[in-house]
Amino acid sequence: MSDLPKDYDIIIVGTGLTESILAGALARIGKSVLHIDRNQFYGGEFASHTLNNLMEWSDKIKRYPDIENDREQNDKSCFKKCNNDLGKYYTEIEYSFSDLETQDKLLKLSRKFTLDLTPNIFYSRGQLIELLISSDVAKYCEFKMVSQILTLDRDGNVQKVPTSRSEVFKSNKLGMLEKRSMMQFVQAVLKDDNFNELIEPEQLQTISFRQLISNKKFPQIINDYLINAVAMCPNEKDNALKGLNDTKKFLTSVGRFGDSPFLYSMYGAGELPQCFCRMSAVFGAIYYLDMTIDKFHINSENRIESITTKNDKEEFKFNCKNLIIDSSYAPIDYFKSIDNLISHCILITDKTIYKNDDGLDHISLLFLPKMKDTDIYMIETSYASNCSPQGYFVVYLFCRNTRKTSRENFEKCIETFFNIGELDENKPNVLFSCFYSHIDSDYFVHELDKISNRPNNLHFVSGCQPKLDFDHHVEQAKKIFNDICPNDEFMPKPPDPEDIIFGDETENKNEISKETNQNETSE
Amino acid sequence: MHGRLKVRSTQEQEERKRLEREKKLKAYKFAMSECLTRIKNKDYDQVGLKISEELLAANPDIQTLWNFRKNIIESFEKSLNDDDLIKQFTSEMNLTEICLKKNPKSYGTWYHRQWCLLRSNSKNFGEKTQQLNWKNELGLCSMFLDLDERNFHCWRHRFFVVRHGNLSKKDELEFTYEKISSNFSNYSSWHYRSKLIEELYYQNLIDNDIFEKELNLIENAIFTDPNDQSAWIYQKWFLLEHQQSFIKELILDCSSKKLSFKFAKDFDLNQNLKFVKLNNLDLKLEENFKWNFEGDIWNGNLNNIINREDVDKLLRNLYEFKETKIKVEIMLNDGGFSNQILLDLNFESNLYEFKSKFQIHDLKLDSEILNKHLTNILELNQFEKETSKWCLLKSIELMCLIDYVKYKDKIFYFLDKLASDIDSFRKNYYLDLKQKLIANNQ
Repeated sequence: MSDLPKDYDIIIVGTGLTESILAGALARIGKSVLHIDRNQFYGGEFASHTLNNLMEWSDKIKRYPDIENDREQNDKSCFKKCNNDLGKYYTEIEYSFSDLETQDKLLKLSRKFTLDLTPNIFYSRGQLIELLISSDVAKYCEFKMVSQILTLDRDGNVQKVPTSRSEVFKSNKLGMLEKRSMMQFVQAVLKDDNFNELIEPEQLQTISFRQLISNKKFPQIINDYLINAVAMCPNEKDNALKGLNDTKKFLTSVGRFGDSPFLYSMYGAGELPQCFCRMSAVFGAIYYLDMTIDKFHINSENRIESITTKNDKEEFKFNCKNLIIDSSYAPIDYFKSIDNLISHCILITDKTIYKNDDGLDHISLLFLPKMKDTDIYMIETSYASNCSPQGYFVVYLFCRNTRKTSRENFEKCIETFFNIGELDENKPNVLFSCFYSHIDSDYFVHELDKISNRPNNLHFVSGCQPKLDFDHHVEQAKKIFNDICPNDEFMPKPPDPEDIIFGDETENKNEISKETNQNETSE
Repeated sequence: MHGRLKVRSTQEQEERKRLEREKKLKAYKFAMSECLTRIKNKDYDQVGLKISEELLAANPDIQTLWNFRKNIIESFEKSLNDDDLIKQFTSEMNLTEICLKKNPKSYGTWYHRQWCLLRSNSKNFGEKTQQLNWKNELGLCSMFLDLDERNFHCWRHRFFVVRHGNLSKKDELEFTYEKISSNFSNYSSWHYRSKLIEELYYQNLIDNDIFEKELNLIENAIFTDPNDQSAWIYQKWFLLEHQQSFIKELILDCSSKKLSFKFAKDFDLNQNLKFVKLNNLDLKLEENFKWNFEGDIWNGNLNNIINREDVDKLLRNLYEFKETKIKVEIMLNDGGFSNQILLDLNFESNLYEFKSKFQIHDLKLDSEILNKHLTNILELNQFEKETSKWCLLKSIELMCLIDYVKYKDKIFYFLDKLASDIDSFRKNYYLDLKQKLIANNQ
């Protein structure tokens, strides 16, 4: 590392999604970028792990609080020491296997599992997908359709929600007139941006989406579909405008790539940050993993002028004009105890929660409103996404934490769907479970931005949020990009590789004329 | 501009492309002239196959070369043993598949493939190798239909395969259901379904509940989207087009001056007939004229009519000049039918004949089901607040079909609504339809 350049336009710390998008965008317009991460893998909290690696990772976090931080040095005004204690970010983590025999069996298959720390699915017309297409980064990644949108009906049965015209047509759960009223609503939502056919303009903000739907006097089944599966706006505080906009986003996403509105990243969501990093590297960014930021140095104008990086063996100093860091690396004294937590759960099971007749492997989404006063998102993936071996299923649950521990949030949900305690052969068995919580970094970044003497060329980015899609990260990346380079285009499409000229231009021309000469002589 | 990429300008790109094109063109012209010489000299050998293969792979639309290949293979048939012939046919199948991937709508390629299939299967090669197997060919069709569900070449090819390979049409009906489910706006799949049903009908393989099933399928589609034409057009084919051909058979014998009808419905022709016209000549029947009912056929002797001289002249002309077609028009008292039927001359029997195709009446048309269908469509019409053009128009057609007199007021109300409000662009069409209904039912 000693032979690396010392000066950079931008240094980015953390290879999470927002950081990686920024690395790509900045390198693309010719900025010099150094991109580092404390881990040996890409992605930070967006990484995907094998089963073994997930266990290693959580064991490491559990050990963290033991590491002593030399706090006393941190109060000087010329530098700030950064946090490298992941235990400050992940407030709890635990995992267990159902029994020893299963543990052996699963560990043998460890490498066939791809377990996402931040699982997610993407609207086909969401900002992330649009960005992947417009920037051509899409060529590095693969997606699968989320083939089943499920909902839990009043009787506690899982139902498949028809998401497209053809699925409404096929559905045998809906009567003729129910089909019509659902389609009428869909058409009205798509008609214009003000939803004039559905609601008076002054009511958009004042009544809830739930209220709007019940005013329409639809049959109960349609109410459930629209509120819980399409808009996913079950709460009184979700106003009609939000619900209608979310419905619209869902509906416009249907049909872009298939009958479902959602895409799932093949081989896990951890692929995405890597795709952006790859593009960034193509445009000259320098990558150094297993290297963390120890502290940054502030000059008299309250600007960061350099950082010190460090790993087990070495320590270096690099100069930069801007510093972008993931909030989990924020200076130690910025960390306060934060109550806003996000809880996650990863399960490995032996059956799917909704058996379809077609015998295929599916990727499913199930939104569970008001499960113990929090809304839970549930994603089940299978061999279809190459994230698990055949015959095994990976279930992700995430929500805002409203309880003491992560496990408590999901208890009721797990009881509903899985075989716990009393034996029910139809329900899937849980073979492995992992629960963890981390601070709501979006809220944290919001607090960080409020700090008054914060250096003005320091930018914090946040991690995952308990909602669908990564739109939020694209917006964040765009905002920081605009702060740094207000006059440049955000990730324009790269040129066709064939048209890029390497080396001297005239050489190329000679080659072409040589070719033509050969042709003429051959005749 | 430090660190930015150097990119070729559009001029340079075009220059590169132009040079590539020139190179290709030279090779193409040379190979083509070589093939044409070989065709002229009837030079049928492996070299010709090789050259034409490369040309076709680049441009599958050269019919001349496909014919050249057919000639070569025919000449091989005399000299090669079966195993080598199978190899040759298989390589034709591979070539056509490559060509179809390049241009899935190449007439010549599809035709060549059909030729190969027919020719090889007439020698029973299809049983020996998978690629020449009829059933296997369905897989290729499915693949191309996945790529383009409206590729009519492929739909036709599929029908060809099912017919010649004698494959299960019921399985195909299931296949069309899947295709319709995945996109019911694709009329190609509905049309294929209608072809299959006709085919099943001719072979007496049709299920008894088909009437109910098809109407249910149609209703599912129109309730999901009443403004989509496909299901409505299929409904028209299913209910109305065949309803009108209530005549199952019509035979005119010019030498014995006999006219015979076979109807789909049971009724008394003597009481219900309003008029019959032969090539626009109205037959003025005598008062004591009687149609004789024998078996299920109504016969009439054309000697017992008032204007028999005109009729004689007409029949004589027909007979002498061996006109190939004659137009018959028939109108009944009770229905809104005014059918023009073209009879073809059968050269063997010297009779003018008409035999109807597929008819819904043979499927034990259940008026209860039909009434329920109308009720559903009227309900949908209400639900749409009478603003759906297709709903209104189809209700009119159905009401005419079921009971014109009973629904008369509603029919006119709907027609006026369409003409004045919903679809005023086609105002005159609706007014015309109204006049026609009034005239026919006076």
